[in-house]
Amino acid sequence: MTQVPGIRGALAAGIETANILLTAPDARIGTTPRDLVWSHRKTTLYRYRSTERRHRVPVLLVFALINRPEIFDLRPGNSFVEYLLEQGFDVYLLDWGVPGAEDAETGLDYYVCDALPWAMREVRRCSGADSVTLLGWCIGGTLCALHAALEGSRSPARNLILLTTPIDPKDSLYRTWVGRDSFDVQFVTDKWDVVPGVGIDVANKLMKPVANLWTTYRRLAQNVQDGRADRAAFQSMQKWISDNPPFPARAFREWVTWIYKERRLVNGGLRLRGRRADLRRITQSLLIVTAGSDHIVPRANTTPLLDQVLSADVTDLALPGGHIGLMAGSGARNRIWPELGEWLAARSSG
Amino acid sequence: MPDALRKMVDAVEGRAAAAMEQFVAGEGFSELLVRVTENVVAVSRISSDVWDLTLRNLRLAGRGDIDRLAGHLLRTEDKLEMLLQAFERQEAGPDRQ
Repeated sequence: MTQVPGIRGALAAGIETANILLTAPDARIGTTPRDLVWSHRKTTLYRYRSTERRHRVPVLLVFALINRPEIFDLRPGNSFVEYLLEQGFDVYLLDWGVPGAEDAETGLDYYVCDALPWAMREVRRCSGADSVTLLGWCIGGTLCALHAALEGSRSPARNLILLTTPIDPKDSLYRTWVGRDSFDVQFVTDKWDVVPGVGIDVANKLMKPVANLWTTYRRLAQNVQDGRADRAAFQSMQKWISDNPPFPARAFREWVTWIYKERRLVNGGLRLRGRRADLRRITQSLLIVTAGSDHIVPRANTTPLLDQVLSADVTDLALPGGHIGLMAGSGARNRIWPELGEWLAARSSG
Repeated sequence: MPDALRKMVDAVEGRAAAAMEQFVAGEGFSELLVRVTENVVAVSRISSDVWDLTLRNLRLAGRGDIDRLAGHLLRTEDKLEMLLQAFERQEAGPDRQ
């Protein structure tokens, strides 16, 4: 009969684990109050409410075209947006929205040459500042780098922060998969108007199949049984990971061909609307952040940028952590956010 | 779960994770992934086309019709944005241009 309490405990833990997983879609993420400033097509610009804006240069957050930008504002107490507001920054978020089949012909040029500069125009108008800090994460970072590489010193971007940003994906697992000749991206984008987000999510998870498809859930069950499970943290991250907007067909084709197959960004052959994106035109104060355990964008995929830019003020921050955990994990508040805050504060006056 | 069993599970899991990561990075898996992706794309397209044809034959708006309409709306929005920009340039006067 000594087995009974153990069985009862395991059963209760199983039910609790199932409850955490089943109610994860109801978790509330991205809750910091904000106002809609501008929108065009599916793109929306938000400004977060604050009564303590102390720094002159506003910060524009730009996320990737996969997953949603709520990762910047995951949950109360673990939100980068909340942290920036506490530090006195004027914070804006560019949300690319959820593309539909009607966006099949939306290419990278729309994001880099239209949406991003127009959003910066609105940020300047709204804040009254002449310049902006661009903070891009993952593909969002590449879009910001492309903007700076096209516009150079004409860009209103004064500071550029690139978090785990793919610049040269040489030797990456993604390149092994989509960069190979047998992967016909044209076939995929001819048949699909938008590449389903779930397909990209499956690919991301397959990069570390055991960790993503088994260990995460086994650890949750174990933590529940040990009474150490952080329900809010798990559910908010789970909800964010499960929200996968589709990728417009043309943008996907250009992204895979130009960045992964032909590595045009470092080879100097990337042109948008007839203009060459030259990384040597980047003169902004630059902060590059890479994560030691990032399997999606390993450090070596970002650092080639350092050899090309002409910025006089360059900071290269190599930190431990994963692609997402680096900024949104439980340790981010004490590790990376203060570093970003200090770097920004020193470059956001006047 | 007893500690010894937990340690064993961790060790097995660690070895399985490393082996799987090596497997997915290999040529064989990459080729397989490419073919599976192409099959999924082709099947989903065929199924989408069949559904669209069925709806059209029922004289209902299909996905393609709705997409075309949404495309028109996007282009109208583009024109409006351009118009707004032109108006703002005009309003700012020649000094600001």
